[in-house]
Amino acid sequence: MAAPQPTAAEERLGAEAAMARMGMTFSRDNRWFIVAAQVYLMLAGLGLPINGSLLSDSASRPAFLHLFTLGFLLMMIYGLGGHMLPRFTGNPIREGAWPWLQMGLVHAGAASFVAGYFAGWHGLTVMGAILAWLSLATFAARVWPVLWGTPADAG
Amino acid sequence: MHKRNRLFVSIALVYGLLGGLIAISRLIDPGLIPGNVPRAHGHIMLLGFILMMVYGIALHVLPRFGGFPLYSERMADWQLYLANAGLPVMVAGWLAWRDPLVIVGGVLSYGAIVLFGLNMILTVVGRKK
Repeated sequence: MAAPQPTAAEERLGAEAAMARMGMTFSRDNRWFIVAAQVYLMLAGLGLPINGSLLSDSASRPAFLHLFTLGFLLMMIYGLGGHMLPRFTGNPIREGAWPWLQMGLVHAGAASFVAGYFAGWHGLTVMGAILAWLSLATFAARVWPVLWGTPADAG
Repeated sequence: MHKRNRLFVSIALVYGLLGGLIAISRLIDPGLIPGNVPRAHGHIMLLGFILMMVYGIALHVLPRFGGFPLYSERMADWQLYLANAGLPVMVAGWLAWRDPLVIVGGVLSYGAIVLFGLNMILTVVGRKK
């Protein structure tokens, strides 16, 4: 009697598990950076129907500009850089709480920065900028040993 | 990963942090740094952070994705030198209100862009030297 054949769904699950074992697929943090980037892109794009331009000449210009740059571009760099650079150099990237700290800082930073512009609260804008900068500093601290360290340094 | 490409990514991170600090200082005290600070910030982030990150990653992956070796390592090395000579000169020009410096820096940065563009085109189409 022939062995039962796996269903298509079982085959797909098997293929996904194999890819995960190979380390080809995104880790959870990088997956969420990529997802968040798309959400920020759609928010930044709202400037098109609202202002008739991605970057209007109104007071909201910095808000939409930074939704695109801080929200979309930076988070794409976080997600893709955090995924690809360890594979390019062979050095591991700092995981654990670090990527989630970086994610919390960049979300809080982008949201505060944009809200500060819309609400006209300068202090909130400054706080958002500082939080976003701390997020980039966290990313740099995670990536530097990947680029220049030995595997033992980056653990 | 080639040392030059790792340098591109590392320098991108340094420019990103520097550009952020300049913007924060401007938000806190607009008079702290003289010159055209918003323009300097914008170009440090775009040419310094984003573009140098793209340079480093693309010089590594595009030859592999394209299936051909990088057309010219020398062009890529000169791209690194020109990009990192041009941007500081350009930023100095804006902060010091010196248009000639901005022009010189812009020409050097554009030289890096052209070297990158040609090198990538010739790599991806598989042109042999």
